[in-house]
Amino acid sequence: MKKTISLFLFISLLPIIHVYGSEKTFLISPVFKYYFVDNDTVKFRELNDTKRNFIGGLDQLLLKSPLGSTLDFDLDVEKALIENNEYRGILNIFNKNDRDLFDFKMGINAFNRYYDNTGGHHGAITPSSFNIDRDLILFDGKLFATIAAPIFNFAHMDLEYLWHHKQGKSANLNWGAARTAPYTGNTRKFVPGFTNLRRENLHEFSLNLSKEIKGYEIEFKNDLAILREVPVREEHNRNSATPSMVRQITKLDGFNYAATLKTLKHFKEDRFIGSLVYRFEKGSSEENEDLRVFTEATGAQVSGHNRYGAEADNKISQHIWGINLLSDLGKNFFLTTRGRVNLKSRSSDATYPRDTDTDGIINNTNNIDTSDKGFGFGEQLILTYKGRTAFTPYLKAELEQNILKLTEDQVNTAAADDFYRTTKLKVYKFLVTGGFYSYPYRWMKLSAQGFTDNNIDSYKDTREIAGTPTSDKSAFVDDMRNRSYGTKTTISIRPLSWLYTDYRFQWSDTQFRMLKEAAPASVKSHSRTQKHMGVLTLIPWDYLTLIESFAYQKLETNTIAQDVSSVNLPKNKGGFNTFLSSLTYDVGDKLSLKADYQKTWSNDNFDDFSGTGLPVGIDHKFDNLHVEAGWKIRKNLEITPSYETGLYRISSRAHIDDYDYHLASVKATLKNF
Amino acid sequence: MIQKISFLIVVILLFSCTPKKEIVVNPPYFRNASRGAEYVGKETCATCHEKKVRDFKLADHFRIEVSGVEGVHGTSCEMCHGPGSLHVEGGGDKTKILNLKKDNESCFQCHLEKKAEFKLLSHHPVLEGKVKCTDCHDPHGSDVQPWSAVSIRGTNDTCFKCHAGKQGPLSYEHEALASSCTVCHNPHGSIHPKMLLQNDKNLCIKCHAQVDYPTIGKRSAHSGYSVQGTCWSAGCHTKPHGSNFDPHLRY
Repeated sequence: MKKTISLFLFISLLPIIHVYGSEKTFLISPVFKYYFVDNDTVKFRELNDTKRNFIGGLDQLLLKSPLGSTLDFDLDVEKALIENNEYRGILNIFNKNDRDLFDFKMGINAFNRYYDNTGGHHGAITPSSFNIDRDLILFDGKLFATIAAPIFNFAHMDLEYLWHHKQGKSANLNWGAARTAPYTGNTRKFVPGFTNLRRENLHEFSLNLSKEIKGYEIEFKNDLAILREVPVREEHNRNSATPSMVRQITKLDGFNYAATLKTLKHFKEDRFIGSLVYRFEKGSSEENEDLRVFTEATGAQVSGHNRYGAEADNKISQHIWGINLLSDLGKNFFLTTRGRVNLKSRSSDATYPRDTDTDGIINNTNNIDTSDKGFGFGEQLILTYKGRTAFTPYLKAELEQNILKLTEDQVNTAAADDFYRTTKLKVYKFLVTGGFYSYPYRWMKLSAQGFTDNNIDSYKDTREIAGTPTSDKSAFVDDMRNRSYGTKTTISIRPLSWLYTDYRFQWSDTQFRMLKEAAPASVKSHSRTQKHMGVLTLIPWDYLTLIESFAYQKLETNTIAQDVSSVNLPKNKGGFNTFLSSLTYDVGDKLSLKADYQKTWSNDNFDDFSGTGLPVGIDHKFDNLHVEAGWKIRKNLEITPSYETGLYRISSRAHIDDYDYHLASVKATLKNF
Repeated sequence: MIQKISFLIVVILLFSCTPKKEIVVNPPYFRNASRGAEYVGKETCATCHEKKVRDFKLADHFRIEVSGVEGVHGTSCEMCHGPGSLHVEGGGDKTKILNLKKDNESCFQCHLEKKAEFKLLSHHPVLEGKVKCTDCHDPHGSDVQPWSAVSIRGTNDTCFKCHAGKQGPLSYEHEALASSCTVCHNPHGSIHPKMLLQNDKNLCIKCHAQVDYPTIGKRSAHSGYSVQGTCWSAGCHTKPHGSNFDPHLRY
C-alpha cells in the first residue's frame, strides 16, 4: 500500500510541470509540526491520533489546469503528513463542458490509528496495570478509482474500484489474567491483549449502467467485494510465576456480490415520483483458526485449551424488493410511501477440533451445522405539509415484520458440548416520529421532534436441548421488548444582526424488557439520556467572530445488577461536559488571529465499584488551547505559525497516567507563485 | 456592582434594539465561510444540478425546507451548501460553495451535539479530517440515517464499509446486530473505549436480564466470573459480534 501511495503522489505531482508558470490555479501549503509530550506519551498518541516529535508534509495542495481543449485537471490534496502515514486527496480529470461525457477520479484516504498498550487498570491492587512491550499502530488506507463515461450511446457507465487495506497492531478489550496478590488471591482480568492484523485486504468492484428510456431512469448496478483478513490475537496471563499466553491465528476469506436493478420515473411535472428496486445479494465467508495456550518461557502447551485446524464455511443469499412513491397531495401536502420485502437464507458448516491435553492430538471435535431462513416486510409513510408560511410539520411512521426460522445443531464427538435448537423468531418494529420546523419570526427558528421506537422479538423453540445450572447449553430468551421514547428541540434566535444563539435539548428513555424461558416475569432495564447544547456566536464586525458553546450530557443505565448484593454492580454513568470557545480576528488584510479553547471533563461517573472487583468508571479532564496567526507576507504567500498546549488528567482509579503537551507548528501557503 | 452593570448593559443591548426586518436567522458559519455570497434559490442550482434538485423531494432532508422564508431555509440546496451566488458567478467554482464531503461544519450548524461527541476520548476521527459525515450519511438520500425499515441496503452496511471483517456471515450471529451496531456503540463518540455506550457489564445485562440474576440463561455459575471483569474483557465472551464456533460467543 505504501508503494501505491508513493505512486499516487508521483502521478499527482506530474502536472506541476505543466501548470507552473502558467495562469492556472496552484496552491501548496507545506506544514511542519513539533510535539513536546510529558508523561504518558502512548496515551497522548492514541487520543490525538498523531505521533509526537517532528511531523512534516502538506496541509493542502490544489492544482487546477486545463488539459487540452476539452479536459480539465483538478488535484485536491487535503493532507499528506509523512510521519503519520496520513494522506487524503482526489485527482480528477473531467470533460469541462459535461462531466457525463468523461469523469475520472483517483483518490486516497489513509491514516494510522494508535492504541494504548496498557489494557485495563485496577487501582486497588499491585501492580495496578501491566504493559505489553508492543508498539500498537494500525495502518488504515483506502485507494479508489472511478471512471464515468457513455458507452457507445447505449448507456452511461460508472466503473469503480476500491482497495481498502489495513495492517498493524491494535489493542483488544479481551484481557488476560492477573491476581489480587502476586500469584495468589483472586483472579482479575486486566492484562493487555492485542491483535496483530497481518493483513486485511478488501477489493471492491462496482459497475453501474444507467439509461433513460421514455422518461424511465433505469439503473443496473453490480457490486463485488473480496476480503482476506489474517488477524493474530495475543492474550497474556500474569496470574502465575510461569506466565502463559493465548495465540489465536485466524484466516478469513469473504466474498459478496450484489446486483441492483432500479427504475425511477417522474410523472405529472414532478408531482408524482415512483421508483422500483430489486436487489440480489449472495455472500460467503470461510474461516480457518488455530488457538494455542502455552507458557511464554518454554513454549510448552498448556493443557485443555488448544484447538487446531478449526474451519467454518458460511453462505448467505438475499432477495430484496423495494417500492418508493412520492406524491404531491394537492399543492401543499407531500406524501412518501415506501415498502420493502426481503427473503433471506443463510447456512453454515463448521468443525472445531480440540486438543484437551498437551500431546498435540485432537481429543474431540464439535461439528456445527446452522441455518436460518426467513422473510421480512417493511413499510414507511412520511407526510409533510408546507402550506403554512414559515411552518412545516411532518409525520413519519415505520413498520417492520420479520419471521425467521433458526436451526442450530452442534454435535461433539465426546458429547460434551452437544447443542441443538430450532427456533421460530418473530421480530416486529414500530417507529413514529412527529415534529415541525418553524420560523415564528424571521429572527427565530424553532424545531421540535418527538418519537417512539418499539422492538418486539419473540422466540418460540420447537426443538431444544435441555440446559443445566452448570452447563449453558440452551437458548433461553422467550421474549425481548425494547421501547424508546424521546424528544429533541432546537431553538435559534438572532436578536441582533451580530448575535446568534442556538440551544438544543435531547431527552430519551429506552426500556429493555427480557423474559427468560419459564421465568415468572420479565425484567426491565433502563437507559436514559439527557443532552443540552448551547452556542452563542457574536459577529459584531465582519472581522471579529466569537463562538462560545457548551455541551452537557447525562447518560445512565440501570439494570437488575445493581439490586443483587452478591455481585453488586452500580448503575453505569457516562456523562460529560464540553466547553468550546473560539475567537477569529482579522486585524487587517494582512494579518488574522485565531484562538480556540476546549475543555472536556467527566467527574461524576464513579459509584461504589467495590463489589465488582474491577473499577471501570471514567473520570477525566481534557484541556486544550490553540492560537494561530495568519500573516500574508505577499499577495501569494501566507505564513501561519501556531502554538497549542493541552493536558489530560484521569482519575487514578480508572487509568495509569496523564500527559501534558505543547505543539509548535508553522504552515506556509503559496498560491500561483 | 460591576456584575449588575454588566448585566444591565447586556440586557439593554439584547432587548432595546428591535430586530430589523433584514435580520434572518441562518447558520452563523455561512456568514464567514461564504462571505459576500447571496442566496440564489434552488431553481438556479437546477440549471446545472438538475437531477439532484428534482430528486430532492425524496430525501429525508426535504422536510427541513420551509416555505415562505426567503434565504437559507426556503432554498433547499443552500440550507446546507451556503449561499451560492459566487459559485454561480464563478462558473461552478467549487471553492465558492460549501462542500460537505470536505467540510463537516455545515452539518454541525443543526446537529450541534454531534460536534461535542466527536471531541470525546473515543470517537471516529471526523474533526481530525480522516472521516467525513458523508462517509456514513447521504444527505441527499431517502435515508439520511444509514438505515430504515425500508432500506434496500442492510442494517449495518454503513459500518461494514470500513469494518468488513465484522460482516460475516457467521455460524452464530449476535442477534443484537440485527437491531443495529448502535445497540452497543455510539458511532459519533463516547467517553468509553471502542465507542461503547457502557463500559461495564451493564452493556450486556441491559438486554440479558432475568429475575434470577446473576444466573444468565440457564447457567448459574456467572458470579465467580463476573468479578473478574466485563463479559467481553474477562476472557469469556470474546466474540461479541458473532462466532463461527460457539453459540455463546466465547471463541
